[in-house]
Amino acid sequence: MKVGRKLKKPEKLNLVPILDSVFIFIFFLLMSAQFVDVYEIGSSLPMTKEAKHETQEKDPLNLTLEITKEQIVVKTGLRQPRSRSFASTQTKEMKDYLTELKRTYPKENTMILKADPKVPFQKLVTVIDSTQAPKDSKEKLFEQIVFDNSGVNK
Amino acid sequence: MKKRFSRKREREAVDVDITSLLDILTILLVFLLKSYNASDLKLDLQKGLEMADSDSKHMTRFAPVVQINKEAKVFLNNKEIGRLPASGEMPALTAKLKEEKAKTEESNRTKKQQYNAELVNLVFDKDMDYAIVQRVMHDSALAGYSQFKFIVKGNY
Repeated sequence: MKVGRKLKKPEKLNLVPILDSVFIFIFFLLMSAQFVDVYEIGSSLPMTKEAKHETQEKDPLNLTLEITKEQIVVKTGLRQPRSRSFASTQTKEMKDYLTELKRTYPKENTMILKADPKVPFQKLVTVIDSTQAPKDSKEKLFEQIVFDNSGVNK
Repeated sequence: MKKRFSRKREREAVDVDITSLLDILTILLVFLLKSYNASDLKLDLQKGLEMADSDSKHMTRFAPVVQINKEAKVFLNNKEIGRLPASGEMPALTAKLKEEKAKTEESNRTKKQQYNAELVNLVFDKDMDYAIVQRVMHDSALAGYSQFKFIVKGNY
């Protein structure tokens, strides 16, 4: 004798609560969405502090970048000043040079910026970018930026 | 006369296929989550201002926002203050920034939420000369601000 088997209909999931919460979440995200990614570049006013009387054997880095429309001059050293010039387009070469400097002076993170008044803001930002951490690296270069408003000696 | 609708036909509940709707919602959710910015600074960019592109990844923070557009019009927290003079200081900007600083300090004294009263956000047009940047920084410093943050557009 055949036993009649009842075919059970598969139970349907109640998706209403999850849809409600997804809608609320989307609404919240839409309200707080900012479609332009904005970030910041920081700079502080120079602060003065009492210098400790320590005789430094190593010449301090005193990294200064002089930016004009045509070139960027990287100056280093206090007792034995050195300088190296890069054309405006040589940002990669400059970055390599700064990375090399950072290896020699790992504790230094300050950089003085002197710019020509005619330098456009975008150029300044591009130069600052090349003195910060490389794009895909955790290694930081010279994050502390101080603007020197005395101008560039041409 | 026979009643026309004497018997109601039992209707089956209509099944709506929501799979496609769910697909769209998921895509929208992923897109919005990806473009979500957790920063507490809400920036309304002024007309005639194009932000500089940068590789910076530092998140913006809440502080007064000074914007200067191509026509050298100055805006503080989206309110126009005036046009930047051809040379020298802009006392109106310094005065307004001083008011903002006083407000932030007062809020820090009375409210739990603390903000950095030394910080000012500066938004410049990408073609603006450094001379103007210098002058705005100078005016902000006169108002008592010592930390300047340049707001830039991420170019990823």
